Amino acid sequence: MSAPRVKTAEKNNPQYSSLAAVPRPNAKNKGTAGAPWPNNKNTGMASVAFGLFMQSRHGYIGPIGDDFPSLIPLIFGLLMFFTAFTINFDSFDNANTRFNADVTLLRISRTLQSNSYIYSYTNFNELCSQIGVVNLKFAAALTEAWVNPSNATRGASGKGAFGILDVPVFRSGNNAFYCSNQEPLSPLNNNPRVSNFVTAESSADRLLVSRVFPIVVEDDKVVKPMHLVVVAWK
Amino acid sequence: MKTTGRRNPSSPIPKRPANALPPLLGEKGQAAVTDALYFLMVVTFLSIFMFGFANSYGNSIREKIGNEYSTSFATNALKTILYASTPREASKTVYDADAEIDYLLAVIKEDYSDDAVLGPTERKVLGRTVSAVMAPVADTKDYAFYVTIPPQEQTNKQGQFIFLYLHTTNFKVDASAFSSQKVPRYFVMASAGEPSHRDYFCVVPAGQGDVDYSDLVKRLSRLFANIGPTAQASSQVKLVQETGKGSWFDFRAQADLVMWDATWLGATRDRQAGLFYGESNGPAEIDPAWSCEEVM
Repeated sequence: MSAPRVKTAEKNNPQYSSLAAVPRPNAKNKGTAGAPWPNNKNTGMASVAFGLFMQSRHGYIGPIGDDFPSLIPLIFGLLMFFTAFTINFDSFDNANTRFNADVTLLRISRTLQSNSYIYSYTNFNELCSQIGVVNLKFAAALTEAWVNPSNATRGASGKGAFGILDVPVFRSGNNAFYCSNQEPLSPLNNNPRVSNFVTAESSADRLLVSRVFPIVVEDDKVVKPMHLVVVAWK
Repeated sequence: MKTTGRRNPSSPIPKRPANALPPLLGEKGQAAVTDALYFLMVVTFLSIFMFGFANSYGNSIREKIGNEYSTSFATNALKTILYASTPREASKTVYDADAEIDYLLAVIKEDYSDDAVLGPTERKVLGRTVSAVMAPVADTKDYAFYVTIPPQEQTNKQGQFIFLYLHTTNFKVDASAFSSQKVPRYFVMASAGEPSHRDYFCVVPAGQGDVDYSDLVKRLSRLFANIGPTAQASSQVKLVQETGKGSWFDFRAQADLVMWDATWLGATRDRQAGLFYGESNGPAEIDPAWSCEEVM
């Protein structure tokens, strides 16, 4: 990397010495014509700094002095590479986490859908037990919120559109059609909702994915169209 | 005289020209700086490549997962529509205690069997079930649900559309954008109108004219070919018809559900004839060949 060193004899020779060969900006020759030093009238601070730097006789020629200018882009390049590498690695990691969550969610919903026909509460529980261990927390529920959008089934406020966490769980008698690998955050009363398991506040900084699928449920010999809501979070 | 590049120590030291650059700038350290700049250049390209790759990483997987979900939703929705029970009266729901409940498909079969058309009450019942099942995606997706009888030689049945329900997003198109040369031809400037969506019963017998089966098949094919990716589910159903002598014969029919991302279905500068609407949307702009009436 470094340039060939100047021999000692040459270094001691004032004519060959690099610094001696350059007229220094002292009072006598400052601004003289033909000198490599720039005229004071046309220069700024950069030239002055450069001049002062060149004035220093010691340490410039040598391993550090020769290599120092090349170290700046070298270090900058390394810094840039490792920054880009770290950012991209985080990006890959986030994307892979998201894909794994999506695939897990599809797997859970496919198990619960079965053939899109749930004929009893027992059947739903059997399907729920088939899910097994997954690497996400999840809550799944059957809901009639979209099919029978009465005020009672709308969101907590009872007005307007409802969020997916507000959907009420379908109940048939005393049986609520939900399935989760988590204990409810709040006790399930007569009107259980998905928000009993996960709320917007509790999932604020987490990865949360959700899907809705149409499904039919046989209830009291009536085959009711409903929806299966599956929410999964980290 | 040939020079070797190395100075003879006994020879006098050559004098530097007065206007020469300082030796440190002219001779020392330049190779190292150039090497470092090359290194910086390589690292810059590498970083740009990494950013580009990270930006596009997973796009195809994301698209496949989305398609998988859409197809799953369409398949489940069609099953749900065909399995579901429904009240015989359009004003009631399956949750009403006094409603007379029957299978939706049974209601359709029964109504079709006598006069080979679907009555207005049954049309509403079926339309309402389709709308309720598709409700979770109705804001972002448009869809068409239709029941057809393909031409069949065995039963001497001509092709026929029995039912066609179309859910469209009511785009309000900015017509001035079409005339601007700065807007590419394939761009349409649109915003949600009022109401945000319109639903139609098409192939209605009391519509503007007779529906030609093959013409409508071509129109649907053109529609599906121009709206981007679609998720489609089909299922065979069996319908029956009375012969007039108290006997019945059954034949094959088909139920189809097609959904796609909400798209402008009218004319554009590239598409002189609209897919469903004319230049501006609304029921008045629909081609009479569809024989549609808006669902109120």
